[in-house]
Amino acid sequence: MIQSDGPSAQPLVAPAPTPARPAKWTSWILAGPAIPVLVLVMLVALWQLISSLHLFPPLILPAPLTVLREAGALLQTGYGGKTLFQDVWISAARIAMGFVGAVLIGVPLGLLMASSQAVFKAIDPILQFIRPVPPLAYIPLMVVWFGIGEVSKVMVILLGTIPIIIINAVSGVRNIPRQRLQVAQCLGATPYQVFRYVILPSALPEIFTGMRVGIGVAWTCLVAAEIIAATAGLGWLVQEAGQALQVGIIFVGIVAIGILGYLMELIIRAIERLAVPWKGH
Amino acid sequence: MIVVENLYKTYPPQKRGMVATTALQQVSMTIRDGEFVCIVGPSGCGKTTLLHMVAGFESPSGGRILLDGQEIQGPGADRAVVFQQAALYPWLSVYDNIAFGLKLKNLPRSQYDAKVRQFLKIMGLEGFERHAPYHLSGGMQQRAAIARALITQPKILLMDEPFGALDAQTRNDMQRFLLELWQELRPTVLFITHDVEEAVLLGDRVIVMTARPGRIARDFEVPFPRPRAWELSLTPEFVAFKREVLSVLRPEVESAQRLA
Repeated sequence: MIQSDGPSAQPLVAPAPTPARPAKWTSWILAGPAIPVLVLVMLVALWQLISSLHLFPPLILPAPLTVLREAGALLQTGYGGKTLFQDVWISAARIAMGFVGAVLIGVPLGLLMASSQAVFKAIDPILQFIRPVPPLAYIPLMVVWFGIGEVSKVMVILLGTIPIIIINAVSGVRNIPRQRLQVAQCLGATPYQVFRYVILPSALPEIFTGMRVGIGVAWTCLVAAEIIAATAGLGWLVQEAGQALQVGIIFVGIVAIGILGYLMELIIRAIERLAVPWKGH
Repeated sequence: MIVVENLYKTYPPQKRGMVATTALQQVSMTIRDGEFVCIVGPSGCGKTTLLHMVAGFESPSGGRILLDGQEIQGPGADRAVVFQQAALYPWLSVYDNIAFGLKLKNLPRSQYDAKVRQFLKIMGLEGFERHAPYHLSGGMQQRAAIARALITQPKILLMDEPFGALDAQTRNDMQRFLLELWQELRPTVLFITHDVEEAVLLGDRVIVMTARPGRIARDFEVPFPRPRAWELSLTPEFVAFKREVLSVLRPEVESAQRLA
């Protein structure tokens, strides 16, 4: 039976106040690092379990503790004459040069392409040609031209990253709401002032998006280049260890590559927060 | 004085096989210094196009616009524009947004600080000068945009449905506020709106435009004395006048809807 909604249907007693945030502990769990830490612990436990069961020979799947010991050894005495820190340092320096180079060339070029139809028409076909080629394909050519030294690594990173940087800078300028420019023109801004005070800050959020995507690509390019042709660096370490069937060292190398890649993303994000706090508005 | 002479604006066909659109046809009008002119018309009648041409963002396909006898060459500091969206710069504080036009003149802050503070006060934005514009309400953002436009003391203020995105209450406040401001500074205003009541309340003249291609259907002189209070809109004289304007506008809106 459906009750009528007459006055008599109203409750005689005021309803109890709804409990304030009943699921407080769930929000605490979601906010804190509990979930990722738990997942990590479970993964390592599973790994330990599988290796304790001896399903695979330790040569194929070393136990977590073995890997930890390998890591300790890598940090202290190193592998192939270089410590882990040296390899990290070498890889980081290559990334810095290649990526900073790509930003220093790519951002001004992108801004120029967006403001001049002639420059755009001149550069765009080259860009569209470079873009779909996987950076790995450049490695043999770079090695032939520049040897297996630093220049070839930096060039591979540059070529792999620069299209992303340029394209984002161009679209950053293209997507500026027209009214932002019109306001400045009405206030008597010179073309330079429009560029400096409106176009540049407007394009900055997209430039940073390009840099964030770019740093990931740069890292991938570098590790690939180091695997193919290098005498030091994290990619080289993984490759060398693989040839010597040192699976533990491969694990350490991969984890180091992952952590460093993540760190670089975090650094760019931190710079982004400082440089464009208005992002999204 | 703004003189619009036999103005035409045609846009080339966007694709092959399409025809060119005529946005404006044979538009002529004269706006005296210090006059407040409102333009109403159905959507797509070219009223924004007209405003853009006075601002110098677009150039006429035929005819000309003279500003004190000079043909308009492009945007200039003598004509400020306020859009429907405030279009404030999100990387600048409210203060720096309002001061933007003065900073472009490379004046030191000491020379314009008092003026910016005065505008912050007039606009009811005191205490918000260091806020980011996106933390302000819609009405406050629009007031900051008006302050930014007026602080360089342009002779002409071009407003393209400036209160169209605001809620009814805020819109009323803003209309009253704009009337007071105009009374004090007396710029020439070209004000575009959908809202006949707004046009009659604010304007010295209300120009009704036809459906596309936009022509002038009628140019009304608004008979009400100034200063005008909001209560004016409740008087029978006001309602009668509004009905007269609507009797010209309604058929145009209907024919525009048939076109679309």
